[in-house]
Amino acid sequence: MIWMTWRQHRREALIFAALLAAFALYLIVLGRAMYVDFYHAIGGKSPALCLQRQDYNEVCGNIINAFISKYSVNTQPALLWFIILPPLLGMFIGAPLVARELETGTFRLIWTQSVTRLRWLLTKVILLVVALALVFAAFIPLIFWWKGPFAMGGESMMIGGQGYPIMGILPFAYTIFALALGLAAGALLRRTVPAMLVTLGGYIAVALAIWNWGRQNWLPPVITTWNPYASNGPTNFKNSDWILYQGYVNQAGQRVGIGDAFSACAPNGQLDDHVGSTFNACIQSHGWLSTVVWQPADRFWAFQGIESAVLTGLAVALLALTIWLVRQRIA
Amino acid sequence: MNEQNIALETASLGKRFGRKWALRDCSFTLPAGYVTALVGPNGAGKTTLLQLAAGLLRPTTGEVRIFGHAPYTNQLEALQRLGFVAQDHPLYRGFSVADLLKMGRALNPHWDQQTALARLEKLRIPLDTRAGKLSGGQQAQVALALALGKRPDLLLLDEPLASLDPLARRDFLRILLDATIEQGLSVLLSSHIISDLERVCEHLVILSASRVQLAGEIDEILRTHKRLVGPRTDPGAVASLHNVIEASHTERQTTLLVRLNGQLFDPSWQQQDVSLEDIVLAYLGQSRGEQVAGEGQSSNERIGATVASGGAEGEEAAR
Repeated sequence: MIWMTWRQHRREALIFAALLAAFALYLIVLGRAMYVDFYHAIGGKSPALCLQRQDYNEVCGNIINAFISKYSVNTQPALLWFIILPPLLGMFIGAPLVARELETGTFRLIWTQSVTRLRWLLTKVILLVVALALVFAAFIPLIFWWKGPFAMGGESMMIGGQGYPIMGILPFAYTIFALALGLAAGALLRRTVPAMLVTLGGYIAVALAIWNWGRQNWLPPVITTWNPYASNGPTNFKNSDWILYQGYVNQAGQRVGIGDAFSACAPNGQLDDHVGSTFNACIQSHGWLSTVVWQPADRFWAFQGIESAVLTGLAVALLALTIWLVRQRIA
Repeated sequence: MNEQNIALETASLGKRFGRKWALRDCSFTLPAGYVTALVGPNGAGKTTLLQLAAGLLRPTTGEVRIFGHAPYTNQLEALQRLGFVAQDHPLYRGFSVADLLKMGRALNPHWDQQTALARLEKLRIPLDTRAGKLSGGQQAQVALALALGKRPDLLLLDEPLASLDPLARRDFLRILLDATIEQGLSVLLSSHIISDLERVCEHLVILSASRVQLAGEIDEILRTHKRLVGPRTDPGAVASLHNVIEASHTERQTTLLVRLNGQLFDPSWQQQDVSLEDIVLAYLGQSRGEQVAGEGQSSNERIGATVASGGAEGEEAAR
């Protein structure tokens, strides 16, 4: 079955290997240039030195901003290839794995060899997962290395950040989920192209649900509330903490929109929110309190673990469905 | 007969797709070591029966066993002993013929590379050509070589003759016959070409209207089926003892095709031998008559005939 799996999927395997190699090359080449810039001092100041000394004056600010705008995900969208990779694998390897056999009738050839359907399916799935695990394991340090300069500035470790889904074990978890989704869609629909489309649609739906609703609630967020009339509030936030909400709450704990607060207390648009300012006095007179709802940065690996567990759980359920379909329902 | 001597056994086997029964109440036994023909019109359930036997379909009712193993649930033992070639003889189109042989070797413990290679060589099928580039007949031959290379004990072939030219047909049937003699291979092959099969097949299963109409040894079938010709009469007397498959009447004469249960003593009937083809056609005509039963008397009267697969089936069909 190992030879068979390789022979049958070698074309897809080589295409994806080439894509991944190109991506690794891109990371290495651009990453080296990035590290040169990071340590390159202009007028005695480099981005690295500024961050190290926590020197955020105007010169350093400009240097850091220039560096970020050159190398962040926004200006290097190729980084996001890694986000597209899992659904592509699900569509082009997962979906056809069962569906193409059914579509072309070759299931009548392969399922009458001296190999049970269960072994046939599991061998393919296990080989695929092991191969991908090795590949993605190699990418984890590469991406952390690439993200190193940003990590010093905090951005990269931010759970809600743009780079988050390509970091750590998440790409692998998303890939496992996409493959299982493709497999199940193929076994259910028995047609390759519809299965590919359903895989893409289902993947986008689940990814959006996690990104918009799931991720911020993996663990209950920390809620910090203080009286802006009495204090300036906590000062220990890190750049990499994920702020979910920042604003005012009334005595009942309900959120007061920034717009409402402004129209009530700063009608001419002037804001002075230091302790004892008229703005804060006005806020105080309404009985409103300042609040920050946030996920601390040190939950990074806990969140990676939870999100991966959710995706793996979905994948296992989809694989179980596929096994049942292949063994019991199809033909 | 113990399990090892029974290549294929079905008991009340049935398969329903949605609301439509593709096969019903199918019960017969195939002894090992023979070539058995499965005949019937298109849509009679031949493919369904073969795919049930190959473990590609799960029975809705009843069971099917290959050397005592249920192919669908007890997969591996049955899978190792059967070879199957589907009607469209599917192959991986991107695989070269050599790749396909390698696949056969990788996936089957009893793989016989020598035989498979020799067979393809004899047919001058190049090993480095991709399966998708071969002609339909060549693809069928490769699929057969793969099934034979597996060294199965039971070979299930769905319309194997359809894509072969007459010469290749004869050659192919001879190979099957040799394999049954040399290796004790059992073969069940479906076809609607009866004349080709008569030379090599020892057993016959007639399938029509999703039911087994007759199953048995061909010599036995030929011996027990007779055409009776006599003065015009109501065939009821004969039908009380024997199975009347087909009855036709002229003004003065009645002709019956019957399956005799023992001796026929009535001297007013003149007995004639019948060809296998006529027997098959009579059974197919009978089942067609069942399908239009209630549309009034036809010249082929059906008289509560029971069939070899069991009396219960005849009763149900008569309802």
